[in-house]
Amino acid sequence: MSKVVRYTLYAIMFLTIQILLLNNVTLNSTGNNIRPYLYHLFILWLPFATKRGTLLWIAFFYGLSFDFFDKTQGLHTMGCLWIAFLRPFFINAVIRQEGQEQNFNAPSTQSFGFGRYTFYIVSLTFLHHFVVLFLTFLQFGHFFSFVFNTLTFTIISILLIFAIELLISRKDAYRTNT
Amino acid sequence: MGRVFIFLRHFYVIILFVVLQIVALTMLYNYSNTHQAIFSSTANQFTGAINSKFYTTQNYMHLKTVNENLAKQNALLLQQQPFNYTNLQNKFKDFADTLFYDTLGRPVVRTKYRWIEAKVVYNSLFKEKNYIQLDKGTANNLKIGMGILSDAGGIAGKIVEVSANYATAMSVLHKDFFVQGKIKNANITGPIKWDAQDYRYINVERISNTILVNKGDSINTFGSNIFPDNMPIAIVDTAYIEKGSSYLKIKAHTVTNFGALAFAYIIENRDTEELKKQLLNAESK
Repeated sequence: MSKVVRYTLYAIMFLTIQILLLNNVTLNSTGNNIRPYLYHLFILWLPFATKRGTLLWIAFFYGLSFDFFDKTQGLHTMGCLWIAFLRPFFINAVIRQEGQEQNFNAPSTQSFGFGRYTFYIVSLTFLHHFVVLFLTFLQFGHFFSFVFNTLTFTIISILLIFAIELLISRKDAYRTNT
Repeated sequence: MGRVFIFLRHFYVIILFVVLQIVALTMLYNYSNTHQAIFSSTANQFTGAINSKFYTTQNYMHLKTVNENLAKQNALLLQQQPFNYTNLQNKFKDFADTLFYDTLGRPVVRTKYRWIEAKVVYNSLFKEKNYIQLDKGTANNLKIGMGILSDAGGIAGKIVEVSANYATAMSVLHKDFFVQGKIKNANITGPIKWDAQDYRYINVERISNTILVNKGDSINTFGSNIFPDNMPIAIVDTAYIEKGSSYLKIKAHTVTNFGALAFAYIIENRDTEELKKQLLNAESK
């Protein structure tokens, strides 16, 4: 399967799960509606070889198409743009050895190792939620909700992401040109 | 000139990032203020088509509640039919005739409100700003600013965006939704606000703590130019005096069951344009 086709299918799959399923689910804790987010995982899964400019364009249109369904024009787009922009820095920071991204296709537990991959996922998920909820906070203005939600949304998202990681096997063979 | 291109190529990514962020922020800002988004009409049309397919399946689970609500509404409407009443003064004249026409046959009433039924294709509950999408649009003469009532008879929202076949409405569960509510027994009005916590409850604000409000009092619309007077909004659940405040804290259960919203009635006030024009004229004087 071509890479473009595979990643288009991933995008459609994540948007479908998020819009039709997860947007209708919430955990209500002390008056805060905790919404599970999963769709941003698509941007974290994009191949290492994606150019940074392309990454931003993909994030923009991906975020925008989610926003049209969620009726939050521009909100999630900004979250997606932030994680797409900072993704290369995080990859450089967590990669085991220099040039390792040449040997693997995309970020996964195989290419990073479990601990490093977890760090990568947690930090970028936190960043996405922080941006989205901070913008919501600016509009709505409940500071306690903002702090509480950023933490709880991240925890729920991480649990979901690892469930998805277990469900979808992304076999990534070690390639070498040496 | 060449240097400019070198500069742009060197900083391409960061410039692109900033530009896209600004585009997104502008969209967010515009949508929060005016609900007029870029490609808004196209997007509404597209999301409406997809949502309508999915929502039909989801509604299947609420069919029982929906049917009960519709039956109740039907009974209420049947009760309002003219054949229920006989004229005590003159048995030979039909009551309905005397109601709508004077002795010369001229109409004495005029239709102020027009009702259009619609199917709900999307409804969110868990955000700070919730929206309802309906399967009727400009093709059915819907306009921005029309009110929405649910199948249970309570108010549900206000239209903010219309495309050819779909319309998007701001739900009552939206932080910017504004309507005056009148507590029937206490005979006092106050703004209705949703606190973004539980989709079953709304709050009534600015009711002085000297007023007696009981559990079960009904809250109806009053003085709105979208909804007719005395349309049900909510029923008081708890009302207590907040410490250090001169206002009551009133929590009310919405008449509209937002969790199972399948059908909606759109209500058009035919005087809206006239009212708006008059207000503008009055302000300019």
